[in-house]
Amino acid sequence: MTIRQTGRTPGETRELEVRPRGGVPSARRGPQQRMADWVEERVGLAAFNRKYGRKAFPVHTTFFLGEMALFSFVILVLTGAYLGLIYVPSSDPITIGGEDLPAAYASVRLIESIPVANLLRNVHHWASHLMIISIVLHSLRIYFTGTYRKPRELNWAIGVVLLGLSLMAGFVGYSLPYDSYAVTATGIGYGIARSIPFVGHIAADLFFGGAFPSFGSVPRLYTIHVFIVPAIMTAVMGLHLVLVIKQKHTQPGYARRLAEPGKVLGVPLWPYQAILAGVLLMLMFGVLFLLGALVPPHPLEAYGPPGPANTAVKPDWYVLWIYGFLKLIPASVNFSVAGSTFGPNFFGGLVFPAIVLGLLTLAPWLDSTNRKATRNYEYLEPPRQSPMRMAIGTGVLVYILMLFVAAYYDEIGLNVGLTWLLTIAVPLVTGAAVFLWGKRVARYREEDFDPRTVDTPATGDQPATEATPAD
Amino acid sequence: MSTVSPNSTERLTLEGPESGAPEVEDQGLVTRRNLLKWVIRLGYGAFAAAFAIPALALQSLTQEQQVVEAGDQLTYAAGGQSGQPIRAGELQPNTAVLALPQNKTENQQNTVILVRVAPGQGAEGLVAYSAICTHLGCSVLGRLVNNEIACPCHASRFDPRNDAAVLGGPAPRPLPSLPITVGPEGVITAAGGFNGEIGPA
Ligand code: HEM
Ligand code: FES
Repeated sequence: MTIRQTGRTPGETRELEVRPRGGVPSARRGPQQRMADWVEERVGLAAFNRKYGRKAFPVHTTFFLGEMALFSFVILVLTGAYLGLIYVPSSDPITIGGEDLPAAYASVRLIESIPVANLLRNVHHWASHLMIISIVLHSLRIYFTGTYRKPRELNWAIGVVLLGLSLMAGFVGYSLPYDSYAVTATGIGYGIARSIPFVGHIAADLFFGGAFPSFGSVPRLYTIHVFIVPAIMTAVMGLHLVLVIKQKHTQPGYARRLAEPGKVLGVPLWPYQAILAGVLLMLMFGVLFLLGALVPPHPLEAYGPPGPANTAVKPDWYVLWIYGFLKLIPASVNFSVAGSTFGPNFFGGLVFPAIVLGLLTLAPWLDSTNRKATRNYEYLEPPRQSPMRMAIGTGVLVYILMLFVAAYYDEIGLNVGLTWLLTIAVPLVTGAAVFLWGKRVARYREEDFDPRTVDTPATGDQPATEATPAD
Repeated sequence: MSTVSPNSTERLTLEGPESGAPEVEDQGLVTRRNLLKWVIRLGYGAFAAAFAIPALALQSLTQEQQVVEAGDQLTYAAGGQSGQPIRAGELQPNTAVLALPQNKTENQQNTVILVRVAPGQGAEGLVAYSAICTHLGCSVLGRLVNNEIACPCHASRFDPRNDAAVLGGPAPRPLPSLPITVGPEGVITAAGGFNGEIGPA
């Protein structure tokens, strides 16, 4: 028995070794390969590679948006870790060159004075924009092609959580440089948190480390920004990706004609998708470094240290829609229940974004085609196949854009009433127009793509494809 | 990989004998299974408490802040003359300036907007309000916009001639006002504290 086992094991190993290396006999292998063999015999990565390395990735430009979000996060972690080595999370005043400055502000000024650190700070800031843009575009792709439907409802909801967490990371990140902008913007956040009925004061003081700005605030916000939110995000991203692997990708409709149902048409993770992803990562690094070097997104002297004289602050675009809504909501939206106030800041600053993110989360359950679903949706649906979805999607997007306009209403000469009217009318009209147009152009049916009814096109040079088995 | 997973084996051995005698559990007897269930629940409880108690301990560190009182001299809050006393005669009609009580400049909640609403040298025509917007606590602009006090954050506007009543925007209540007196050489002093709560409620 012992003899047979030893006799079998090396044989098996040789079989595994030879395949990936194009048939080099093991006797003639160099030290590097022998080292690889040594690891392989103990860790057995070949089996792992057979199981996951062959996972097929459909190749489509929009399928890289999720990867872009992931890579932005990686870049944020790397650059953020570097910044954390210099940054001082404290608002205590320190004297530098006769000037009393909060320590955090002074340390970011130090970061700005070191060229490499300044570059990485700019990259960190730009990467946070890129991350949120990627997540937004990624979710739009999924929305408009209807791939949030069965069986991917849960992963859609997880994706909305990731969007919320990255908005949170960005908001808290802004407080850290502790310039005039940071203190004003974070103070507004504190005011909004305080407006929660009943528990607002406790919740706000817990999150902001006391009545903002107090000396407990910066350490608290710092820990939330560099540890708590990224740690939760890492875990949630892991879950998101595990589900993608488990449920497999959806694919563009043409895959129906080229691959059997249940098979994914695409390039294998190793090496082709890995190469594409690597190129994307390098490209992103390149673009971000170039941007960071040429366009400082938030130079400290633009706002200066915190002081009584306020510079007008507008939040970044990714929370500007909430700001626009806050500006529109009248002070009269205000009532008391059991001695606690439900005021405009609560409705505008918290309830409104919660409704938006909540409706987004519920999209798979609101979509009637999904409620009636008897089977899984494994292919992207051309957007115009569903005029209703297209209309709602564009309507909501236009609404968000109108709230950006509302954020500037007083500066562009509008009054509140007219702005209200526009923010409601323009999205409704656009949505209706898109719906009517969609009704006319909607001519695709799922059946049109049935591999049995559609002739396989004569493909002289097919794309490089790999079909993975169903599991 | 079609072997029975450890989980299902476990369930078989645990549930097997019990499903035969459900009455034992219904009578609330201390069976081994019941006891274990309670031990597990206790474990969850201890786990939750281990997080809840430190979370309560995270409560705020609230800094003691000096607030403006009667007798505090008002000084320029910003600009080149920052820290210098403001004299009543230095303010032109229909202009405003941000002020802080001398020696209490650390607490920015003390910021005051001084407005000259009518020509004059003394306290007549001079009004002072908290500069902290009652909406979400931004400090209002240190100048008048169309003869109104304006908040740059969400466009609230207040009437300096009418106890800083809200003229527009989301602010829920007027800016609290600060009683002032004008002493010799035009030095402006607070004659008391603000007449209301500063900033958002
Ligand atoms: C592990 C991950 C992260 C670490 C360690 C980290 C660390 C830091 C540090 C130390 C700062 C203060 C330095 C400075 O202001 O320049 C900062 C600022 C900032 N962070 Fe992060 N961060 C991380 C992830 C993120 C994420 C996920 C986002 C947003 C999606 C983000 C957005 C920001 C923003 C907007 C700022 C302000 C930048 C500025 O000063 O102009 N960070 N971060
Ligand atoms: S804080 Fe002044 S209008 Fe919002």
